[in-house]
Amino acid sequence: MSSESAPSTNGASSTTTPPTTSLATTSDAAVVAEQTSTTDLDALAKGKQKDKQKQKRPEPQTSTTAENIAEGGAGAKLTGAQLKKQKQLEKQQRRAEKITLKGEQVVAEQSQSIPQAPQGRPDGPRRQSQSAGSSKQKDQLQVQLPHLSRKGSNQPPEPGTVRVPFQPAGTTQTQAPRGIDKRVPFVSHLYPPSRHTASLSNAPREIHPSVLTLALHLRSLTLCGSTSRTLALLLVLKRVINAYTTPPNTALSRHLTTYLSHQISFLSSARPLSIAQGNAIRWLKKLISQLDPDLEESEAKKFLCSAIDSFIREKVTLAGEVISTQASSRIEQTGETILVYGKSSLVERTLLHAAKDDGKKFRVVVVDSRPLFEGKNLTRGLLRAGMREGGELDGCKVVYTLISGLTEVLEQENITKCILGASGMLGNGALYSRCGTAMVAMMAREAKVPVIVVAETLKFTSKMAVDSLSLNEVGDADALVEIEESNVFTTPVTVSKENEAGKKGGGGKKKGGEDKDDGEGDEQNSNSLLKDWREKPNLFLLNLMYDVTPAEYLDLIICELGTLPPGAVPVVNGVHGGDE
Amino acid sequence: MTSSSPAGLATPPPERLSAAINPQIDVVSHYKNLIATDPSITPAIAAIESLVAALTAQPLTTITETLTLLSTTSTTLLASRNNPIPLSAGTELLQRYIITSFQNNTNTTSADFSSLRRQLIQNSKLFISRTKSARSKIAQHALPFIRDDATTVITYGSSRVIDAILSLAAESRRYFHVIFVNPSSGQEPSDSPFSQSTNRLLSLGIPVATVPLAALSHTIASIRPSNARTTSSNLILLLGAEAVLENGAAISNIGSRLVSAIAHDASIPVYFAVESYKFTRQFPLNYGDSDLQKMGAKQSVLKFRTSLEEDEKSEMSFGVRAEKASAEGDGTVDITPPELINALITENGTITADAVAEELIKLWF
Repeated sequence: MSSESAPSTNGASSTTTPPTTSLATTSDAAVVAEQTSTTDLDALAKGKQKDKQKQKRPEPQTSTTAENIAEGGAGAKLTGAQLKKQKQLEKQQRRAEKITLKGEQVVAEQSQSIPQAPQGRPDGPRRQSQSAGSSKQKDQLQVQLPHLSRKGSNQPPEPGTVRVPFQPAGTTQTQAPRGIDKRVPFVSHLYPPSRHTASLSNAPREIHPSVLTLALHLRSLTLCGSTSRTLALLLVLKRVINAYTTPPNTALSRHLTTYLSHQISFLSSARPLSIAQGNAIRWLKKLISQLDPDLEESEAKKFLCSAIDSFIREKVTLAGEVISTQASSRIEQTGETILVYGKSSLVERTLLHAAKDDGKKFRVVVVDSRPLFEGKNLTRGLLRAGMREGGELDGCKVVYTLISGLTEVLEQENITKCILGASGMLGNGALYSRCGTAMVAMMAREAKVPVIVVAETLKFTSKMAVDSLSLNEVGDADALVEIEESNVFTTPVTVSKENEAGKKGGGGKKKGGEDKDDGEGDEQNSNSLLKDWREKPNLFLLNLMYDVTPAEYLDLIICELGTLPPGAVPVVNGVHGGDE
Repeated sequence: MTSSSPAGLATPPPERLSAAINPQIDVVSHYKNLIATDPSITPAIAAIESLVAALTAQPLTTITETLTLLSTTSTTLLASRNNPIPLSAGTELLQRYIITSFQNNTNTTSADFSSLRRQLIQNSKLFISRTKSARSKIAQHALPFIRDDATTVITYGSSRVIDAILSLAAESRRYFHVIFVNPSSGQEPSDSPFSQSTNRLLSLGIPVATVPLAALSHTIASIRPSNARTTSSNLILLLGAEAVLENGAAISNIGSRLVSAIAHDASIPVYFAVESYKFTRQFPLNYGDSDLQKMGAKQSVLKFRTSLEEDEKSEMSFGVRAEKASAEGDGTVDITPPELINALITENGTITADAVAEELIKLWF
């Protein structure tokens, strides 16, 4: 059986690799420590913990950080002090949680007789990572934080241990090739080159600590959403530029671009750059290369930083203002029901502008989908702004549904408009946005509901795509497996109560076999079907992040230049200097 | 002086300033006069000319004053019309043109403002004369569509551009048929612009048929037995428009949408012949009365009644009234969505509906 062969090959590879990798780990860690100030280390530590945290509760985490960053961007500055403060807060929380968790895990470990127990190091983080890891979680941890868990996997597998079914998962996709190629063949070109996933340990020496922090945020999807990613990128690049000194015998305009290229390629190894990020980088590089070589370094840096600030103001903040005003004017004073999908900062801004500034009364139907559940984030934002009973915007109502209920919602809720956000506007007028958008747009068009797209011109690109496969991003396939949040509606209340003790004891009951045995329940069995998908040779999981909505399903696009039909997207590129 | 700085351009004109500047001439009557005296003038051009006349009559000394005068006069002019959309295309274009020419001359001091103003007015007049010549250019561009192999041109409503196209085609010895679709089923009075163009074509030796709108589908079916496009019967639908919206939708006299839909259904290509100064930066989501009202047009086609008497005055000759009103640029209109339009024939060449946005963006940015 292939599941038998897989462990053996992996075992072989892991026995050969340990010395080098562990060396690399320690030296890299040293490098990082050397580079970073104490405060940045805090940030890094926070990054690690956030990753771990994400395994447990991905959704709420996503919301807070993304929001904060977005807010920081909108409010001009995400200052170091703010960042630090926020991180420290989160860190404290996490520590408290961990302490409680740890207590429980000790019990769990004993009952499960995990072979890692004897390997436990006395030092803090490693011990935590191992004890927190039942093997499923551990797998994830290693994918994301190889330096933390590598010690565990470096150990040659001890014969006769219970780890057998998850042994291959112990070696991560970032390190060794798996026994079974789990890449879905027709999107194989979209997978990142496995060796180059960004992590603390493989960060090259010249990577600026704030870039490293951002990379970890991007990779863990704690920082999500095209606009906030672009904002964060620009703010981080500003810091990098501020910290930069031109080496002797080189010109700033020549050297800085290559220096930034290294930082950026590290970022893109954490997560492929979005279209808006690409446009912003292109703009910045062009600006740098056009700098007067005789310009004083401090002057040049000051110029670049102020240019970035005004770029943010012009292309994001003010553009958002113009777009939300324009889009809001498309909403009637009363009687509208607006369909939105997932979460887009611009859509949220539009809705709030219409409700708050223009005093319009309407209903919002938020359609959401797995695995990111970004719509919850939007719903929360709307409720927080007062779209609830007794709230500031009481006249507006919010309906939350999953994409599987879309047909019914379109029929029953009497939808009058559909407003969509964008990750990119492609040259052929197609919309590149979160996976599921195309479905929503098509359904809306089917119901003769006008589809409006709100997008800054920063997101316009001359790239074209007629399908969602040539241009896309493959997300973490394990995100499809995890449905263990306590707030998933499908979980029957009785079952979850029965299993509560078991769940807590197992630290998330990821230990495959054992857990299946003692904690039953239908939903767990169906989980476990996907849970060891890596072992099943003919089972593939595909988590595509984006899709392409053809131009014929869109009615109009609102950007800061005005209202356009989808066919006019290439014109905006032409007028705007394009992204060539 | 602050008003000549670029910042002065961006700030909205203060209230008291706009109150102080009252146009020396009555733009509305000037406009009406222009429309009445020159049968070939279009509403957009007449609006531009009225504004330029207002500019010329007023001794202005600053840019802010000029812009304020322009915006107030165009607002009064637009408010006076039932259907201001064609006019607004012209007034917006002129305002945009003047703003850009000011922006190009921001370093001008107030001392030589008068020369700048003179130059501006001169340019505006040049602009008008250039736009006036658009019609003959469109006729040139439309010529290839009227092939010599027994093309049948279906047209609807009265449009001076269509007249120009058909006349040119006839003069260049093309042999083609024309079907005039008559909005009313009754006989036209002989002095209507509709029968004038019929007469002109007849005098040029072009076979002309007039069919009532109600018979259009039947007529098409008679010309072409199946929906298959054959080379032997080359049918095209050629229409004029009062304005073109940003998504390529054409505002034209009421019934155009119906005719276009019928033609589209029979796979007959639909071409709108339109001057590019009629493009306007408006973008409705739907194509009904309420959407027209949002763009400033005061029209409501749908009127329910509860007694017979009310019927008498409104119903009598809807078509004739629409015909007359549209000649003044103030008739009932409808919007033909871009999906039904194959191409727009403009003086800059033949473009698709999508390219209208392109032209507009080029003009504005």
